Amino acid sequence: MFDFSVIHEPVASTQREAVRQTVLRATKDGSFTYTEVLMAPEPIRTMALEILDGISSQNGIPQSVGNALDVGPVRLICVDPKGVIKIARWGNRNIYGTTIEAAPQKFVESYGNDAVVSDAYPERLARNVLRRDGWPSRNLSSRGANQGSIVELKWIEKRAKEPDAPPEVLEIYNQLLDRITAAQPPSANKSKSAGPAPAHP
Amino acid sequence: MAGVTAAAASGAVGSIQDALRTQAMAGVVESLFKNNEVLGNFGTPVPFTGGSTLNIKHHYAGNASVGTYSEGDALGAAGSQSYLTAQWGAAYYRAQIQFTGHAQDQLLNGNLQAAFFDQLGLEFTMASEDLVDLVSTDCLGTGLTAPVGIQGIVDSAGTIAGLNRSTYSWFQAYEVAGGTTTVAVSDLDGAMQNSSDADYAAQISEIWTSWKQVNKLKGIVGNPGIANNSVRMDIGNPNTQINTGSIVNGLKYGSIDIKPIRDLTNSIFLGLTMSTFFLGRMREWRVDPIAKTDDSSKFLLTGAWGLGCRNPKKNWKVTTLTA
Repeated sequence: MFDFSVIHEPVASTQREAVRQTVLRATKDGSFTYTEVLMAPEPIRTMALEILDGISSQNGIPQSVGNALDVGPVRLICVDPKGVIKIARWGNRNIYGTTIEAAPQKFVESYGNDAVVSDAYPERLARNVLRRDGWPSRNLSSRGANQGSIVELKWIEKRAKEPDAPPEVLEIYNQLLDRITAAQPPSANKSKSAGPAPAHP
Repeated sequence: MAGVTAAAASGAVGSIQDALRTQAMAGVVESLFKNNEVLGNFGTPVPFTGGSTLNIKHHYAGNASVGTYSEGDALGAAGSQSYLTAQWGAAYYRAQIQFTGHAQDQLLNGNLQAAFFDQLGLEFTMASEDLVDLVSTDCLGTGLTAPVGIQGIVDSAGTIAGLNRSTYSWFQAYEVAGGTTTVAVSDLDGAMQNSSDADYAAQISEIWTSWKQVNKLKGIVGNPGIANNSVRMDIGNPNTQINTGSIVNGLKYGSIDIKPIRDLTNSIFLGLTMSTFFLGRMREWRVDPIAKTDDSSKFLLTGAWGLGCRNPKKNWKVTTLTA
């Protein structure tokens, strides 16, 4: 998606405009994938995410300059067939046994092994899952020290068809294909858990 | 009538009758828990530098022209570093004190020879402690805007200090849900591994959690008397004392202290690189007399403080430990 040579543009505004055009084109023609953005070198990555979120930081301080772009929902699949996509979100509960509201806390939602996850602004759930645990973006950001466990289906489909696709991409893609064809398609934006776990004090 | 009064109105609080020394030992015993254990963890307060926020410049991208070259290679384009500013705010805190002229006279204005303890002086001391309690609990909270809390800072989502962490992923702390609702050492190991390695590169110096989770963790590590649990049998002397171990003596993760923190949410562990945190001081605590509207004297205690973090990315949080 990205032509990384823009990073050698000497002027930041030129870089930013090139990234903006690339992101807009990719979102328009449907070729956009988060994994590519998250694997892009800085500052291209941050510029791309700013453009998606309608933010500009040209004066060094982020400011809203337009509407956020909607690129979701995003289909995410665990590399491990037994893996589970978990997302923790803020929620409120009463202090156990009372009607008095406790301080906000995180509740985990399980999306199962294969899920279509919302990427609505500003939560950007799918993006945040990939940032923390994306394969292979996490592999890259940790310089190979750690591995992500969740893959963006659209990205791996695209990457597996490219002539220089690494063998592990093909291997994982073929495994995913077997699982996808054997299973029903996931329901969109639904947590497979019964909601937040009860908060016992 | 508000504040400290001479009259002992039925059910009134703040009457000077509360301060009579009759048949009482000297001094006042504090039976109200007020949290004063938090702020000292953040080091010497950092004064604001002017304006409504304390700004920190973040460097997030390096020079793209860095590379190797061979003899005769032509030069490429020069690169440059990339920066962005985080803006940490402060919250203003206040307390108001008032006492009537009658109360002041009858208390002899705090004179030690009076039949009363120094109730007026204590109003100031105690109100200051109440303020510190509020600042402390705010600092432990989930706030993303002033008053900002440590749980809001050590998080992977939401906008804090003007930076949306979905956009600025280098401002995200490492956050993960526990494997189950009960803490396991592997939860801490996983968080420590991921946050210590690139690109988070944390240098965790303390782990904070609630007393309840310290208790849970000790149970996981091993209590004597439980089947297949043989970790803690400290045979210290010839009398073969058996030590049950204690959660108050301190638990450690390797050499890192696991600190039980009162008022911290029950369901989390925080791995903290303490040097990244600071307590911003917009206004030092101060007391100002305010105008009289009757014979009462009135005072306003104020201060403005805000917790901040130089680098949220260097901290981690394990959440959803509700059991």
